[in-house]
Amino acid sequence: MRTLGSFIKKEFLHILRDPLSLLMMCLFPLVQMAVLSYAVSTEIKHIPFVVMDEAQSADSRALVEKLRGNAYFEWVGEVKGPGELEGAFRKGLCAMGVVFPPGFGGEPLRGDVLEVQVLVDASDPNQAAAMANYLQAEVMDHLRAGGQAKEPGSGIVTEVKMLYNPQLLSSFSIVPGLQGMVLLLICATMTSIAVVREKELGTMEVLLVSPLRPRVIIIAKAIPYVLVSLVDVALILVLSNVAIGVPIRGNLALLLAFSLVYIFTSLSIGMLISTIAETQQTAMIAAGVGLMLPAILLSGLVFPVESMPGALRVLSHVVPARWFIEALRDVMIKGLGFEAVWRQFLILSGMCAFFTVVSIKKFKNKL
Amino acid sequence: MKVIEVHNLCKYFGRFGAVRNLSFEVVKGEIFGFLGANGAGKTTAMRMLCGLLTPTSGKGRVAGFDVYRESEKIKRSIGYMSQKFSLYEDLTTAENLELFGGIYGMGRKEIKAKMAGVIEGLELEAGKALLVGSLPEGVKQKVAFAVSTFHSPEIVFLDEPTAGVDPIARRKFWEMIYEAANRGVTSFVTTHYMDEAEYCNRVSILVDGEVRALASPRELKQKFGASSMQEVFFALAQKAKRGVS
Repeated sequence: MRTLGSFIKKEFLHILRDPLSLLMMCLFPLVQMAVLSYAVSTEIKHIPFVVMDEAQSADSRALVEKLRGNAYFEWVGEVKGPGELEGAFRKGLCAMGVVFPPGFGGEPLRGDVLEVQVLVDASDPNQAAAMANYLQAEVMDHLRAGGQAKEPGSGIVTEVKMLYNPQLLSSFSIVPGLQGMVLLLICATMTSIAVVREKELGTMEVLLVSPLRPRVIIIAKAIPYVLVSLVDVALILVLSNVAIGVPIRGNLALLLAFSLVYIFTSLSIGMLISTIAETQQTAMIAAGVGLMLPAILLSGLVFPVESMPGALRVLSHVVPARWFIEALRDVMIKGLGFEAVWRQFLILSGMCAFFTVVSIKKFKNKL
Repeated sequence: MKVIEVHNLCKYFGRFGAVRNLSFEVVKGEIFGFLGANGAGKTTAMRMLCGLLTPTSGKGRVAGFDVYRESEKIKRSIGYMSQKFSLYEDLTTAENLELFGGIYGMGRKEIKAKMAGVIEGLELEAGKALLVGSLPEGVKQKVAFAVSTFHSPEIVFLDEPTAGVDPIARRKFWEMIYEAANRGVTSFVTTHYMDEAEYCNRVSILVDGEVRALASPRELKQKFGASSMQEVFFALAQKAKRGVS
């Protein structure tokens, strides 16, 4: 125990005497959160649009007014005829065109269906779908306000209610993902670098000649980073809750328990990397490419796991971040309890045990 | 009393015999010089004795423990100062001493009691709060020696301890080794400096993984009709077939 104690103290001193890295470990999550939740948002604003109004009715004009007043859309101008409309798209003046056919407006007589044509630049399909949805919602809203949509015979109106995240804020799904990334970065990358640095400096040789057991070295290396990670978890949770308004609906203890299991899993992977890598650069690349990329691309953080091609979906099963992010979204955003996420808990625990055993076995006590 | 006994110790990496038929004995309090050109197998031999490498064949006991089965016990009885600088430069001298004291299982009181004496011996009272990285090279070397002997090991292994240090600092370093020897600490030293070889009680010269000479410096000089250890070393090392760079 005394041995472990003095070794842990040393690790803390290393971190404290390297203020730059310490600062990075604390600032990184905050910067990432700012970038991810504001810049990389799937929400769209200021969509430039043109209108081709062949109806020139009170209704069409009212609807255009409504669109112009909406922050999501930006009025570019009116076009006359399909040629001009196409031209506006060609010149990149607009991303959306709204066409009111002759006869739009007034009372829909004889069970007619009111038609509005919407042309959307679908070179970015996700954005196109979102734009179309926004517009549809606006039109429905308008019609409902005018009482037309309630008319019998105007068809079935589907009313969609967005559960858990009614405003469709991307930060809701990004914050759990960010936790998954930041913890991986600190636990896996920083610890593997901390171990490999000793190999590079030559101090590892002195440790190997000493009676220190590999598990003591590994535990002592890990503990300070567990603490730093917990600080980061708290930072992210508080900040996302206070500044961005992401709710914490589930049980906080369950949330922290998940974070801990994930922290230990990441640590064990970091240790495994450090037993293989000989230089800090190798460790960094292994952690960066081998862990961060899958954590971003295969975890469901950016692309939903369900819509991945078969092979990648299979591959995503071995990415710890996938299970963590999935569970965190369930607990944090949906407010589900342990009965909904026990599977993810078991999987992460299993991964953690596996990597810990392998890295202790692989940590060479001899050269 | 013999603290190191090796008999026909070999280490093969694949078919390459890095060390072959190493046989010698070192007694308590002796300063044993282990010379050889680069690639002669010095480091490999030393690592086997420290419990870092398992020998391929032969017998060996260090501090009374078997090199195959009792490497953990060997580790507890020895001190080690490596070729590369082996202190934590972002810790102070006192913190380095404390750390290694703790690693070797010394109690808090024991560490505290010994610390003052060691710092005094290093003439570092004024600089004990300085980070090791800011100390001059020669002082670092002395601190490293103090750290490697802090837990009172029976044997201390010094792998090129004075590489890159000026002659005066080297001289002072050897004074520390003599002091330790007077306390009964055995030193096993590898070096490239032939003047340092003269300071050893006995010297072995390793060529191509085999011991070609083993005696006191005076005996070796007589045997080879040489005026210095430098000449003795050249006479032997010139016959080397591998790794002389």
